[in-house]
Amino acid sequence: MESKVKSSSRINLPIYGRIAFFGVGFFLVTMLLTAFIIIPKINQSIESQHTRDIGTELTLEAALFQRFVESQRTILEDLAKFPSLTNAVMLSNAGNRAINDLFDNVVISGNKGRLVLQDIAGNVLIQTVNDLQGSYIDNNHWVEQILSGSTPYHFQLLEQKAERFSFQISVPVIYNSYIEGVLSAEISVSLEQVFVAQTLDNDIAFTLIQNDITISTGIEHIEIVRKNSLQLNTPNLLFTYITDDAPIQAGKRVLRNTILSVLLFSLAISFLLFALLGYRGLVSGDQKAKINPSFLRAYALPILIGVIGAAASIAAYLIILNIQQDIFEEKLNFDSKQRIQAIREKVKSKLETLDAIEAFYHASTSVSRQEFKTFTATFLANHPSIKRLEWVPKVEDPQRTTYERQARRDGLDGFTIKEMDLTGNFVTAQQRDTYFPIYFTEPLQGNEQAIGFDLASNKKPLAVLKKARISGEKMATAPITLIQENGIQAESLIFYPVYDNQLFNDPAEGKQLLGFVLMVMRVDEIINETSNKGSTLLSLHVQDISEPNMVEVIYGDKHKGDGLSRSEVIKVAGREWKITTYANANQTPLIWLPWLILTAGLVFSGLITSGLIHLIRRREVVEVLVKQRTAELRMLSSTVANSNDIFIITEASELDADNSGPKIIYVNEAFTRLTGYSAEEAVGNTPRILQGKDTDRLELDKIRMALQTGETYLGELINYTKDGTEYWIELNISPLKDETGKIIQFSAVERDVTERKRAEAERETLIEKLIDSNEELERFAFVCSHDLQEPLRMIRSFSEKLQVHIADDLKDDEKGKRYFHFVTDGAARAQALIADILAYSSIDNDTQNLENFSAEALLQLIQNNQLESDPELQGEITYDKLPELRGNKTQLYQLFQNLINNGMKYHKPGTTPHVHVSVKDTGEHWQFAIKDNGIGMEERHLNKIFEVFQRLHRKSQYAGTGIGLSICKKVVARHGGAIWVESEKDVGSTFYITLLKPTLME
Amino acid sequence: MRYLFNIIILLWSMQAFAQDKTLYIYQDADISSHNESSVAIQQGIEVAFSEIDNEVSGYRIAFKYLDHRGNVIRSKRNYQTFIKDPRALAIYSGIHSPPLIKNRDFINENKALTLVPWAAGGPITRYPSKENWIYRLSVDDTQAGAVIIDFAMNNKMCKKPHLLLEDTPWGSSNLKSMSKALKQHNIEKPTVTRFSWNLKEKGARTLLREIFELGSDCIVLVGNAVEGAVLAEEMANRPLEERLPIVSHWGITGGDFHQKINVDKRKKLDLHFIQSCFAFTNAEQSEYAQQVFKRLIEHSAGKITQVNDLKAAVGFIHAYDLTKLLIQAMKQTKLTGDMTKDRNALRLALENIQTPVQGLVKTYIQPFSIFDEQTNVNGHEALYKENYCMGKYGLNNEVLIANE
Repeated sequence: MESKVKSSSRINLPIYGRIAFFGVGFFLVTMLLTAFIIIPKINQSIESQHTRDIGTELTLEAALFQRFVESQRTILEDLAKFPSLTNAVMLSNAGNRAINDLFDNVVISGNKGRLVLQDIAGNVLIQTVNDLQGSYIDNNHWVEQILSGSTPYHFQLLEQKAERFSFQISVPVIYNSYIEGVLSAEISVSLEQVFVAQTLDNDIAFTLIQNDITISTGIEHIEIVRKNSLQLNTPNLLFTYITDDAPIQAGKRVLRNTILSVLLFSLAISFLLFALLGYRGLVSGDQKAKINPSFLRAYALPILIGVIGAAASIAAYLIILNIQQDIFEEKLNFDSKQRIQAIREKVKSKLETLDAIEAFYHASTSVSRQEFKTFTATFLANHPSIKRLEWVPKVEDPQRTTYERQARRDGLDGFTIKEMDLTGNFVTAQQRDTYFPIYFTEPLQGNEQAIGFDLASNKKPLAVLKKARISGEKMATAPITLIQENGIQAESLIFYPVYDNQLFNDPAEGKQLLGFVLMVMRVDEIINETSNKGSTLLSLHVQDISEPNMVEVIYGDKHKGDGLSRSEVIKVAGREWKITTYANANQTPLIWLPWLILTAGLVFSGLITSGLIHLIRRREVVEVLVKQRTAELRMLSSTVANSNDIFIITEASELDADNSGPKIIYVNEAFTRLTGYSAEEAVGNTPRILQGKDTDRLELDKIRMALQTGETYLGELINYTKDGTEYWIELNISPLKDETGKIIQFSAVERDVTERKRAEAERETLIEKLIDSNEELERFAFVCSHDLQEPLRMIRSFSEKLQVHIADDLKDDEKGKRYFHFVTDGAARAQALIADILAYSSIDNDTQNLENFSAEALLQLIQNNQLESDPELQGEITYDKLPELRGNKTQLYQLFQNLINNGMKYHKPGTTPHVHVSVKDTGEHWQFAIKDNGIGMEERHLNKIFEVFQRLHRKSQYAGTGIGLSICKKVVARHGGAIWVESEKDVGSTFYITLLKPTLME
Repeated sequence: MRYLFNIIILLWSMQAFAQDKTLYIYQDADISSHNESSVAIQQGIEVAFSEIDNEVSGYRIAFKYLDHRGNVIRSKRNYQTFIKDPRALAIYSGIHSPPLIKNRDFINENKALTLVPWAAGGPITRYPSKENWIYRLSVDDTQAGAVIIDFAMNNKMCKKPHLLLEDTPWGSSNLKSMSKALKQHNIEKPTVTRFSWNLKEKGARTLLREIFELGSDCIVLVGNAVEGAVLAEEMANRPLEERLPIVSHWGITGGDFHQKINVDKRKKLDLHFIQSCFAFTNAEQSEYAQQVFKRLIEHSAGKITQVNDLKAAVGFIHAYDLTKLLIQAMKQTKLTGDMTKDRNALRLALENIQTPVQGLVKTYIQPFSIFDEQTNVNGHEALYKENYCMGKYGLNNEVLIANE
């Protein structure tokens, strides 16, 4: 428990939630397992256990039955050991007194023994009763088997009469270990004696089938019949143990529904619990717990809830479906019972007609044809299913003519007692001792053919007549079936013997038999009469199963498929009808309710789940935002806190209240460092503590104005530290507003600019000094150069004159010539240098003279001048279409000329120099490119070339003052542009210059 | 090929049939329950026929023995087999009287020539017709009853003998003859108990107790070996003072009585039974008897080496003597092979045996004659009262003729 608490504290769920989560999860898994594995498994094992149990019970019951038979056999075997019995069989002697005494005193199963003693020839030596049911002579295989010793005993079922049944058991009579005869007993026992009564009441039944004899304890009380049969060898019969599956089915249903209910309940509870947990968790916004959960963790809950909800819905669906199915089945069973009961009663009521007619005969000394007609008319009218009522008198041969004459007198012309010949025609009946002619028949119409037909001439009806006569009961023939268009039509002929008084001593003798009442009834019509009973859910199928090897369908079609069916056997005048009811295929239970519940449950779960997911999504968005903001805030606050700038936040509300100034609510560390006031001292105070004597009052007024108007203030101000040290600040005050736009606070950012202020002051002083010296220098340079030009010109011109003057002298004086050349050349270069310096220094001064001109014209001019100045110069200057320019034309001319000259000058020996000028519009500027095919430069030199007096080559190699590119740079700068160069050694250089477009040039 | 083979087989068998001049002598007896008597009879028949090399008038003699186990019905069936057999000449019976008595009419009606070497029932030979097919060389109850009663009354000094009889026709015939004999001893109405076959210990015990309680001083027993042994056993088990002497008909000697009631048990009993007056155990044996026994030893192939080995000797003795008579009759008859004729001829010949025939019990001089209900009731009896003696078991299970 301790560890659980600890571990749960690590995960960000409250402990109750954890326990609930595990509990419910466990429960859920258990329940799902239950629903999909355990219930089917349990059902399966119940079923197989039940089958096993029944198998065991069957074996047990069969063994009990066998033991019973064994006990009877033992009784008989003990009897067979009696010496007098041995004597009788050995000597084939029936008349012995001892054996007669013995047999007279034998009691088996509470009754006087019905015994038969046979010798080894199979002859019956002794039989204690005359009305034996078993067959003892005539090729009895079993007798031979007993005598040959191949079977230890013989068991044969005889008949069942209500709750009793009888059987024959035969054992060998052994003398000196040899079989010398057979002793049989016919034993009648009650069913309860053999099959424990207690079990018979308890949904259990038995049948014993041997050859065509069936003994049954009756299965009327069994709802769902499950037959389990065992073929026994000794005795040789089919032992069937019938159990009622209804309780086990009901049990299974209850179990299933209970489990499903528990499942449903727990699922519903889980569902609600989880839903509640989910919503509470989402609504309470316990952010700490929920930051950045994984997808699965975030959605586990709604998914779980969805699954539980769906499972609960399915469980509910199954329960309702099961319950409905059960109700439907119960209704079917109820209807089936009701319907069959109705049929039973109908049949009974039909049979009562026979009782009435029999009573009529008893009440009358004789019944005439007319009386019969009158009496039966009511019955025929009231019972449409009774097709005919007939009187079949017993006619002894001497009475034959009397009867025939009487019938003719009754109006039946040509009446004779007749029979059917082999071809199916009626012929006059052959003479026999007794006739059973159909004498009266009602209604007569349509049945004239049958009148006079002697039932004794036909084996089948005769057999039934005999049975009826012996038993004194109503006996039916096997139904006569006709397949008609609208189904099977079956007629049942039922005979009821009438004796001349109600007491008949010896029915077998039939001395007092008058005749039979015969009723012909239609099976289908009887059943149709009951069709208003019970619901229309059922369809019926009726079979006559009286003769096991000749089962006949007498009503309805055999149902296809394996729907719900139920069977009962009813007894109809000595015959057995098996009525099976089936659920009509189109009558299925209402299934919308479970589906509705399923749908509703699924929809509800879906809604809850999607609601939760929606909430989670929204929350996620909020969380991301919060995260961003938090990060920003943290960044900002740490920036503020750790900044070297001072942050002060003051309240805005106090502004107008008094003149004490706004109250500080926040200062950062930088504030403390700079001002010497601690945060505690500052907060609650006013920023005015920082102001002092040199603080600019005007600026303060500006600040006040800004604060009052809610504008931003930006300015510089002198403040004082706690110890009174003065310092400059750059101050930026801005108002902080709430959602409504109302100013609630002011934030002030102050930067200590004391150092900058001092530097600024120093720089200004320096600049002033520089300007002074520059101007002086320029003046000096101008003066110097201007004044130097004159002496130089003089030097040069007089040197030239001198050269001409002494030309002859110098004719052969090469050295002198060279010296002169040096002088003139030096002078020329000094002049050029001075010109350039003048140009360079005059650039600043000349820039003001702006004019518009065409660059092309400028280039043309340069080209021309170039050719003029040096016609020998091999080279080419080309240019694209060039724009208008505005600027100092002289300077720009110099710029282009310098650049073009450079390109022409620094050409590779042996190549024709070529310079091309192109232009590009870069917006504000024109960008010119002056490209040559000259010697190019190394990259490291590119920066140097624009500096004054920088040369890359010796003067002897390439002439120049080293000022040209400096001038260019200065000109470009004066025209708001820039200059740079791109070059590749031995390939050539491209100089780029940008010049402000004319519109932008002032 | 197969066809041809079948034809050959058929032809061969037909030829064999034509040439087969075998005649069968049957026995229908209780070979199972009273085997010793049946076997003894068979030996008697076979030894007698062996003397003539099993051949008479060119016919070979063979034997078929059927077992009726004492069951009347089975016996009848056996007779049916015999009657149908076209080579069956005569049939010997065994120890039991009931089958013969019960089936007497059947036997006579079907002309089954029957020779009875043991069964003692009075009615057996007394079919009320001149054409009587049953001949006996054995003790006859109608005559033996008196011998037994006389022995009981005279030798055993019984004052109040009790008749303990089988509940069978045989028992009934003895009841009749013995009651008659007892009248000679002034006992008008003897006490009688009937018992059935399959009598068991408990029943026997009860019977004996009742007899003792009635005050009887000896028991005259008519029964066979199976029930006789049960009764003897129970008698031996009784306290000495309650044991009664038993004078028995000879039925008890027919089976394994001597084994069940062995010499030790017999010592506890006073048991005598009737026999014909010849025994191989008698000290003095005629030359003829010795010859016969020698022949028997040879015939038995080692099973019998001495007198004691022959059980139920009376069966042998009677069967031997009876067979000697049959052989003589056969010799007097011209056998045709037609059994209907031959059986009848033989029957007539038996009634007319022309020469004396030497037997073990005696020399027979015209032993049989035409039966007549009125004038010749013993016409089919070869032995008479004078030929009956009382005997008892010796130490080696042999039968000793009593000289008391």
